[in-house]
Amino acid sequence: MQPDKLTAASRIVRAIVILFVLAAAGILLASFAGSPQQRIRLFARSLNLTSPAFIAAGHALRHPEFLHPAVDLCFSPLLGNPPPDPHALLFEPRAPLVSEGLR
Amino acid sequence: MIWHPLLLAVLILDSLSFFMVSAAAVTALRIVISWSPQSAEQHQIRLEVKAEVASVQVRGAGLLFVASSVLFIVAVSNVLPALVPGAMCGTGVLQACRGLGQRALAFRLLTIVIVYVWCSVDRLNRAHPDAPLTTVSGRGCLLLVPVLFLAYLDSVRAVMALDTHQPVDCCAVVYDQVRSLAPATGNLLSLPDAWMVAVFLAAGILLIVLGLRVWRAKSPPSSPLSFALTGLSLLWVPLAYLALIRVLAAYHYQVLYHHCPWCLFLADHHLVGYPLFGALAVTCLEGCVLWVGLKVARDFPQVAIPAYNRSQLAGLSIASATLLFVVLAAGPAMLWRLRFGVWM
Amino acid sequence: MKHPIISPLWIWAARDLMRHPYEALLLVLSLTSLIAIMGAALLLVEAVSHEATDLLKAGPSLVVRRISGGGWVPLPKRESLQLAKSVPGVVHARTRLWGTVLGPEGPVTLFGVDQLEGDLLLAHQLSRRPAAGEAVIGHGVLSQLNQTVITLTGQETLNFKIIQILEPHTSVATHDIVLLDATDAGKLLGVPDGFASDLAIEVFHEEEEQAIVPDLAAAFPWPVRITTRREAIGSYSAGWARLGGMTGFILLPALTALALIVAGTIRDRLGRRYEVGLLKALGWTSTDLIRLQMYRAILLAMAAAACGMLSACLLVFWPGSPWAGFFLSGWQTHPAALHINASGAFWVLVQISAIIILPFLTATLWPALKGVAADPQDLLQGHER
Repeated sequence: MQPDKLTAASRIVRAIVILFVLAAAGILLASFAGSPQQRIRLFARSLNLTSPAFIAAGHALRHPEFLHPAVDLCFSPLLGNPPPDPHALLFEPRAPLVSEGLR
Repeated sequence: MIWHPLLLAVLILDSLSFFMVSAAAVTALRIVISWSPQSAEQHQIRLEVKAEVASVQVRGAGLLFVASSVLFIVAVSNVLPALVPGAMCGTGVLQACRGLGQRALAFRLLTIVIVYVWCSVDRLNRAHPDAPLTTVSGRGCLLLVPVLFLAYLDSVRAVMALDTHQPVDCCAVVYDQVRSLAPATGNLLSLPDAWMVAVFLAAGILLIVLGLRVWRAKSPPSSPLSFALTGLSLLWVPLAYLALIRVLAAYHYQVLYHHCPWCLFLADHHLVGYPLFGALAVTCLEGCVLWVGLKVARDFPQVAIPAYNRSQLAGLSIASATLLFVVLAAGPAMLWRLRFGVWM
Repeated sequence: MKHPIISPLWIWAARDLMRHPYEALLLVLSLTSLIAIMGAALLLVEAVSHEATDLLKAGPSLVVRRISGGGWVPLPKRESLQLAKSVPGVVHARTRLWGTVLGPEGPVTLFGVDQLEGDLLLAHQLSRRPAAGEAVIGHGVLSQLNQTVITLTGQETLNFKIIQILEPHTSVATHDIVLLDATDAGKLLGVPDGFASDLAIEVFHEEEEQAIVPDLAAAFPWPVRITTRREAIGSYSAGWARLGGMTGFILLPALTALALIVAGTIRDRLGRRYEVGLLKALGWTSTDLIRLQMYRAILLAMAAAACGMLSACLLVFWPGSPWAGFFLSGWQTHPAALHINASGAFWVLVQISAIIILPFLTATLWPALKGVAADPQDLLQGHER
């Protein structure tokens, strides 16, 4: 084993540790320098905002006030897609409805 | 079900720990069936090597499981309340899990107790070249498998059952629980609050004194003293929980009659639930380890000295954890009394 | 070789990495890309839900909108304010005049600023309140910010002189907003004088938001649609958390493949049992050998975590970078600027550690355990045979 290889190896270890610490410190510093929350809150209070401007204007997710109650809530974009119901996947759901109707 | 990345992390860590414990259990089964320390045959030597591997696997699995349990508690108490309509804290989240969350937590707690005791026994086993406790730790590993499986299964079921579309009312749950607990648990809960706190404090101080005596004992600690410490620590934990929830939590919330354990984990209350319940868990776990250490010292003379040392360390841990709990739980009440001159 | 801080085993681990530099580099690259994709998704989710929650908490508790069979209709200002304030629990009620109109580069959110709002804003944000024919626009309304006139199309098409462009770091609230004089806004939106788009209501306690809804709905003589702040916060938190979870599930096969490759490589390496036997014969214990493998993996994971998290932060938070929003949630327009929050970034790192780094370390530990737990004599003899 050549000693200069071990010196290079120790430099690699130090470089990785320094990279990690610098990355963590950078993210931490950026977060401190980050958001002017006070000014954003002031706008929200002044204009009575009910949604942030992440989604383009006109989309129902941006303006939940646009949702009309006559539209079935199943289609509301505010609700996530429900998980699939295994009964609906395995069995035909229409059968009991038909028999109920016949009765 | 809710597709939250924190829950995904919990399930991945659980899967890994279950996988590792299952692999170790195969070796543990062979150890229980055919361990013969006197034999110099190839089979025994291979089994000894495998026992070493299994020991590392269970320790690794234990670490992963504890990490996943902490993440699960963080998810329930701090992350998911924002996603479950009507939930203000973990109580609402557990309500939205349709009762499976409590079961998952109970099995997780039991698994952690078994893993912790197993790790202590394994450490004592590795302290001697003959590894005299190998069969005991093999049985412990086999005991761990079904409990960890139930914890894993119930966690998966709780995550699957979590309903984020149905509103919950967590305050109603807290009040109902307190009302329904009163007749069911009888005398202990109908004890006047002042008495309950007095008993809790007296037992806590006794626990600290006994723990320090066990720690400072120059000769191996006497059995009656150590068994008394074990019994008292295991009895004190539920008493401390009740005193905290029924009386002392009000001073943290500064609201009367709010008996919710999960609100203590919220950032609004400085996350005080973590050190409080952590201290209770340490008291309970170290109480078990103290008893196990004494039993091992008595039954396996080869490891008697490390076992006694471990028991002494358990005494110190119990005393420190109890002191931390008493200070954190009763501190706000004392401050309130000093500030306003009356109890709440 | 002695080093004051770093344990010699770490240096040995790095030396071991240098023996297979391309393999190590490829492993770091694949881990970095996994962490960067997962981290970008989680940071985006964290930032959006954090900023949305913070903004919504400053907004009104409830919004009351008058509806008809076909959609929404303006409500009379004075009458609706009186009716709202008559409901017990309502602390404060204000009318809003707003809507969406077509700007030069797509739809924009238009707000009519009356005297009250103007005064409050004037003191802090605006150089002055927009007068008739003037507009204050958000940073994302126009791509060329040197324009002096903006054309808006609603009920009519009107031109406005731009008097101020709002600062980009407030774009979470103001990205595509245009502020006009209330009369101009009314003309564009087709809302007559004395009418407003909806009512913003504050209640005394957060808990009352849901409870007051039936009373409030009953107080108005026309049908209304009431949206609560809590359901908006819930939709942002739950909807976006789902995106993070989905990304995690999508990356699971890649993660499993990486873990299998890592386990296979280490098994092959430790399969060359002579090397392990020699080290053991020289006095290395099984624990030392396992530690060596773990340190090797930890060095790779640390480098990948640092590079991956930095890439993820740049993808999500670099000013003007639309990558994460474009790929992960299909944002077609230039997105509003997001800001890092320290606790959010910490939790993302915890989640990444649990989802990617710990399985990677387990994949390293597993074959290492199998490989090193053997008798050195067997290992050396096995090579000779």
